[in-house]
Amino acid sequence: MMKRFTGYLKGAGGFSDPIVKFGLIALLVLLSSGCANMGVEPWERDLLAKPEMALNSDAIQSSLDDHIYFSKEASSGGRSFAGGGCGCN
Amino acid sequence: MQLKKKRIRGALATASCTLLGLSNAASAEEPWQFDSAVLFYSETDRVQAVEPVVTGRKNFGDDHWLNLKMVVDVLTGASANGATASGVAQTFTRPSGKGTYTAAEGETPLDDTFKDTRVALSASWEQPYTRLTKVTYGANFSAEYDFRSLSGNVSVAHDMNKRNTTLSAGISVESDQITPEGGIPTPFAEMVAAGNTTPREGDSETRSVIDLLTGVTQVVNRRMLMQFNYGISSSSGYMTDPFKIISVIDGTTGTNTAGTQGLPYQYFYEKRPDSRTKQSLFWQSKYHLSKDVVDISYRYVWDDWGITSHTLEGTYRWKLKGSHYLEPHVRFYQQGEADFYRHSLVEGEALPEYASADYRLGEFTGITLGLKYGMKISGNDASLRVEYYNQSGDSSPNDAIGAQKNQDLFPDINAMLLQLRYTF
Repeated sequence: MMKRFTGYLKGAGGFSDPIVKFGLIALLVLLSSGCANMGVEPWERDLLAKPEMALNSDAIQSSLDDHIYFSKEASSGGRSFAGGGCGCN
Repeated sequence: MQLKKKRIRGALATASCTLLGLSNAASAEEPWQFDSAVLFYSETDRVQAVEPVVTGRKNFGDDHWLNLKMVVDVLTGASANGATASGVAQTFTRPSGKGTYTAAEGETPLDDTFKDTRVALSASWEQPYTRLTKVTYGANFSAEYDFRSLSGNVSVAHDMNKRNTTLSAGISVESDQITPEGGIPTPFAEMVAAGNTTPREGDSETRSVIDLLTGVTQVVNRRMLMQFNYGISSSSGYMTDPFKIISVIDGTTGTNTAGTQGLPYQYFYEKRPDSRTKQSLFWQSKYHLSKDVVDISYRYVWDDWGITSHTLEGTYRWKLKGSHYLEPHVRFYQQGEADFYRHSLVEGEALPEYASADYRLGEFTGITLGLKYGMKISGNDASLRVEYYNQSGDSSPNDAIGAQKNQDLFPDINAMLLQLRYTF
């Protein structure tokens, strides 16, 4: 299966896909230039430390939603692993 | 009340430890933190579900966390079998082969024997690897009447730039087994009348999935943070839905073709490719206003079945008096169809390599509108959420033939959900 992974990435629709390319470039730019200038000092984390500012502040709700949408739509993952999921109807 | 709560917490902690073979002595210092919810989900004329969830989390010292989760999912109701509505009443054989169900003239055929109970258990262990690196190991098990899934995963997260940047990467490996009622029908075999033998490929099939997920989380300023993820998921094995069929229609009149296996009309079992590679880009940002919090995310998913989708989602946590808050939620989902999606097959035409009339592989738009009301009760989080979901596609596609133009070939799905949550 790993072969298929690498084969897929090398072939059409992998790194040559304009969206993937854009995403990876954006990621690299963000990492190399932007990140160093962004951010806060440790004593400036009062708001970020609030539970409601966690990226996945209600994990149970996210997992219930993921399960509903997985069984109704053809997409999954993004925030977390896509998985094979259930055979639900 | 407080005593009762402690007792419940103690009992759950003991149960969790027993489950993992841990002694209670190890868990004496810090209490377990529990989060629970129950979801009621109801589609008009279709699926009804009740889904309770409990998670437990405990720090075993030095940021060594154990997380446990249990979900039970009770499903009943009816599910679209893939055949299209028709100008005549239609009869179908149940998956078991032992009985029939019918769809009246102009009605979307629904198999009303859909019933299942799923139990899913997950456990994960988080621990620091270095001062700035954290490793998480996880395992999931899920079982229902006709489906079993086992998966394991490892994720690493590394903090940089005064912990303002977090890089993460993870891998998940999953193995699924499908054992449908009545066995695995031969792809493109015709549905037979009840009591006759359906051509079978065996009793069960398997599928494996490998997922890679990598991302970066960045604190932008005192009020804002964002996350950017890329994921790739490769599945191989049985991806066909053994319960889904496709109507065979006359190429000129658009009426149902007569069956040759004892049923009045002809339906073929669907067939999907045995591999799928799905990729996703996900971006999320949270912004803290003076009191309220805005959460916006966008996801783009594409795969080698030709499906692409856009998901745009937003919530606004509106702080009210004290610990109370109100949180409106909007989600917009748009999906393009799979290359092999067909609402029906035409009599006499060569069979395609793959075909499925499963609406979930078609082109449609999904809209969710929701509202959550939350507050603290004795220091614990409590919330009530109500949501409405609508899925609508092209009811009158351009390739509809003759009589098909009078039918709704992509009926809307409307669902309501109600969720109660409480932490303790």
